[in-house]
Amino acid sequence: MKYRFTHWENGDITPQRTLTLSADAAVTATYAVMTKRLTFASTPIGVQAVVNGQTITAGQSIDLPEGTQVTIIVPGEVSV
Amino acid sequence: MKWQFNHWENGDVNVEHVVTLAGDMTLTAYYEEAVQSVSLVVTSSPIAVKVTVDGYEYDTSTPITLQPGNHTIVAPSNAVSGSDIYNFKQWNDDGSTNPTKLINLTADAVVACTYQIQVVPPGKGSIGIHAFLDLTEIIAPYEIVETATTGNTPAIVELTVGNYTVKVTYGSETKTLPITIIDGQNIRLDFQFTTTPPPPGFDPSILILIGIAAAATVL
Repeated sequence: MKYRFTHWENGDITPQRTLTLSADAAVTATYAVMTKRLTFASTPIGVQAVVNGQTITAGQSIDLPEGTQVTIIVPGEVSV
Repeated sequence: MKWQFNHWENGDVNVEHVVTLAGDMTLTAYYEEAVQSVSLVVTSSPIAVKVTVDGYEYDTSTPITLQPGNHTIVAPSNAVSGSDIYNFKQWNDDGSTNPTKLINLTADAVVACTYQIQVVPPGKGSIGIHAFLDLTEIIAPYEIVETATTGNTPAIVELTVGNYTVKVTYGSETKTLPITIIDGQNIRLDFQFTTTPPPPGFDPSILILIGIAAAATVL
């Protein structure tokens, strides 16, 4: 799983930080999982699919961690 | 409207599709209009006959799979069963006496027709001519020279009592048979042809010549 730096404990969002150590100190860098956007489309429109167990309708998107193995299942026959 | 899954954007034809999310991506499922089908059964009574539906021949009581929509059923104008001749009487649903029926199918359907036995007038008999190709009855337009009537085999010809020679031509093949018509008798004549396969553009017409036989050739 890939992570992306988001901020320091002081709110600084710049990955590079300079500080003067005048006493004991703890610094915390926060990372978040990197996601990618999966969009489902269909022809004709309106078809529903199940993406890793989650139902979405054509035209909708879902954000998932980058590198995720995605299993998408659509119905063999639809009435729309 | 019903749609049948066809493929994914990468050509995968399975409804279950597996990918690794390496970047933003769009997965597209493509569907095609589902081809719907309905069943048609044509029945006939009191005898079984061969009918054509959209030009293809079927035995009555055989389920036929068709797409919804308009179709043309053609029942033979007459048919021979044993030594009896039957004439088309009507379609039972609407009473139509036209052997050709147009039907709009929206669901499974059974269409029934009725035949009635032909009564041969005194002093007359009849022949029913059936032409076969590899044991399959030839359904083709025919022409009877004397009356210039056209239709499909079997050809039913009513004749006065007497002796005749029947000549049937299919393509380049000709078959000849002497017959004797007896009062009230119906005769079934089967002719087997071997013109296989009919070449492209082959005229499927059957020519039937009926001539009065010379006394010396009468059986």
